[in-house]
Amino acid sequence: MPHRKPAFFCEKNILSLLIQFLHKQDFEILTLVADQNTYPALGGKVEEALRQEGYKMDVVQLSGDPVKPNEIAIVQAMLPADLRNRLYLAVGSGTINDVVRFTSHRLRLPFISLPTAPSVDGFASSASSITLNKLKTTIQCRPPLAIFADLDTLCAAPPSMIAAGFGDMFGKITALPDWIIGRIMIDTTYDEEIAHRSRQALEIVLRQASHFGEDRQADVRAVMEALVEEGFCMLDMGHNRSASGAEHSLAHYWETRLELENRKPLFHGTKVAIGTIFTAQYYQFLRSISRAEAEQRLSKAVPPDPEQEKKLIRTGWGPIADRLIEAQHDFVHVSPAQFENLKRRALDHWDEIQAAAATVPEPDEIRVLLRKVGAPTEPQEIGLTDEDVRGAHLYGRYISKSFTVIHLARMLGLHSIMDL
Amino acid sequence: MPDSFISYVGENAADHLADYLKTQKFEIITLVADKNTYAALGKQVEDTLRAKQFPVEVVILPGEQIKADEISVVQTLLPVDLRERMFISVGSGTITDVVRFASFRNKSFFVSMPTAASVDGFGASGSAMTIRKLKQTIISRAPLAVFADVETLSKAPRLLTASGFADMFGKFTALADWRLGNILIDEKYLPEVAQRSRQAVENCVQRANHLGEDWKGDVTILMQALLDEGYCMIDAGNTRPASGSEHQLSHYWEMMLERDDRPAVFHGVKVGIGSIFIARYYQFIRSLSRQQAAERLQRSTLPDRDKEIALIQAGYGVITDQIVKAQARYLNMTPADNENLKQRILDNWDTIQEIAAVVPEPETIRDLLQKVGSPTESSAIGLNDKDVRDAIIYGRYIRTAFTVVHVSRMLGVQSILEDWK
Repeated sequence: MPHRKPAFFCEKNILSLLIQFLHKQDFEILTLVADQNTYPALGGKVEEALRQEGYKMDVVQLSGDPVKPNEIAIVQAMLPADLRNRLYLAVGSGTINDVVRFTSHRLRLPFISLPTAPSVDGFASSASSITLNKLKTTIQCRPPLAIFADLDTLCAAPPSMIAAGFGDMFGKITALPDWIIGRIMIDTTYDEEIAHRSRQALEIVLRQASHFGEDRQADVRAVMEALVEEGFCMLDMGHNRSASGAEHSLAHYWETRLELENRKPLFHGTKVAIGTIFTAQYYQFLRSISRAEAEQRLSKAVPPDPEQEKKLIRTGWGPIADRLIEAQHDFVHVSPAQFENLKRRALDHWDEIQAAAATVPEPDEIRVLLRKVGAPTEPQEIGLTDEDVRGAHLYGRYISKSFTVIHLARMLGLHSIMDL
Repeated sequence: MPDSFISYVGENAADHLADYLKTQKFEIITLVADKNTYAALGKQVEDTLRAKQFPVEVVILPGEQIKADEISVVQTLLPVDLRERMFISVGSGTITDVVRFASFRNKSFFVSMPTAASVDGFGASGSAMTIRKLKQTIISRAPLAVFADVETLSKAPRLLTASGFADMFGKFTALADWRLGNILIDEKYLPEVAQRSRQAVENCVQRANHLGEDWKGDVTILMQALLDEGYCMIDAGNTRPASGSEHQLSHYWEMMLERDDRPAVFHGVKVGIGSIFIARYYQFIRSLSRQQAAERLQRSTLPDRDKEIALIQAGYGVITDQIVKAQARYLNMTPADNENLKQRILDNWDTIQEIAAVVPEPETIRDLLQKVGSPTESSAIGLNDKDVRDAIIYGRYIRTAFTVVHVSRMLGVQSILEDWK
């Protein structure tokens, strides 16, 4: 069943709009969930304004800095719940939204999202990205009833979080051609209109990035609107290919590795931005190959050896390897006939693949624009080692069931862009 | 409306459950068990319900030793969607507490199917949870019904059943503490409820004296007594008919064992040992004449707030702030409040003596525990001298109930181990 699309407002003085909206909702008490940073940034003002309106409210301040989207936070958010009809308010960025999305759904209650930074495209999402038993998992829930983004709060967000939002949007540079490759190679469901909407959102952000810093409000509004539009695209599509490709697989690999090794976490979009630069290099490689050369390279390609693949997954993903081996079944077990079919598809659609690759700018152009918005472009700037980067190239693709440019490059004899 | 529940203790509980569920409205059943309780009873219940066309989904909580913590709650809620759901908890106290907490917050009802007569909490409306490492009782809702299968209970590990008896033998001190709270700081006290709780304990004492002659009869009476305690707590609106300072020692040990990654010990077993120590406090009270009490009170002063907080810090470390908040009632006492309290102790000295007189000697409790096979020495359950000393000093901060430990402290006995021989 498709989810209802959340209402979305991005304005100054969002509180009066929120109050108007709440007047039309049916509930007995609110639960406002924030953390030690987002409560002073916005939560406190929301609490005060709504109490003045006469609303009853429980306030949960999630512990931890940063808050981790795990069982501790989830149960903390559900602690005040009783039998009354409750409406949850998630005041914060991605993590708090993920926690409240999961908690409120499991309690069969609605929630409203109040972003405090334009940092990720997940505000409108129906899925919650949480850590269960120390492992990152995506769980189906419900989107918020509405998203109320307070422009002044977003503008006051840490610049690194705004840059991360741009980074998440820049990921669409490679996610969109990856979606086309997935459609060509493994019949991933594709929708022209949604691809077009996602592309438009990306282009608005790219244009904004080119004169970033001239008008903070315009910067913030553009990226926030684009991020939410990406969320809507995913909701309408029922999967995330319009917003997530190989660049996200690389980012997920880093995220898991940092968490398993108890290293300092990084903003999602920060990792996606760097993943995008690497993925753009694969596209650069793809553009350098003529049809004839592709044919020649493909003729030498052999199907993956299942045992070898499983070994790679185990090496790369440790504690979640078993789950991934199961999920990756179709990529691990490819019969010679299926493999020949894949080769034929690539060659039959070579022009289309080249057209998709042509939409991806040179890695250096992407770097320049990311620099402009203040986003790091090199792994070492954010504490990622050569080992981390090597691991992402070798093992990142196993986290997703998408067929991306990395899979295609591999068939063409390029196992890691680092080999170039 | 007081929260209450239906109960059945007897043969073929799964069939009785199925009949009961026919009278209830829901779309899907979520049966929650662990590996052991699924094998002991869960599978049988699942098969019975499926045979009667009920839609059932099963959650097996992972791990060998389930904890009533955040991980278990989220596992229980993981398959949940927007449908009307009936939860069934198959297990002993921990699983029941987890399902009680999770189902209430999901606005669903639950039915409890105990797999051992191990604790008095099956019918409770509060869940004993460890949230952010602090052991606490969290408001939830009693089960709609408890269906106890005597066949299953009689095959439960012996120590679990012993733990049930020991939980019951903790009521001697709990009931005395409750009355102390009533006469000294005006806690609500219900004589009729106290009487029922006392009767349930007596029933268990009788079985303990002839234990094993009719084992199924023994576990039936024990289970009924444990459920009676549940009814008493519901009627009282709190846990005082069943839980006093002996439970505080037990809770302290439980948190400490968990924090230090040491092997867990069954709740009732810890309560049993705790109640031997608390019985010594009552022994101490009985030893004092009014004159001696007056002299001792004369010498005592209100504990210094900062020193108290330092003690809490020493005993509880990272959760100090949570404890300090909960202890406001005692920490914020003024010297005048303290003088008033002293006066009340003296004014009510005869009643205090009456209360102390009905608490058995430590040796009597020890004998009862031995009869049912529950350990009586802290060393037998892996607790060392320091663990015992710490529980005696820090245990009182874990809950806000007023107990014999508070009274004894005002009478100059901080630790029954060192300050009174």
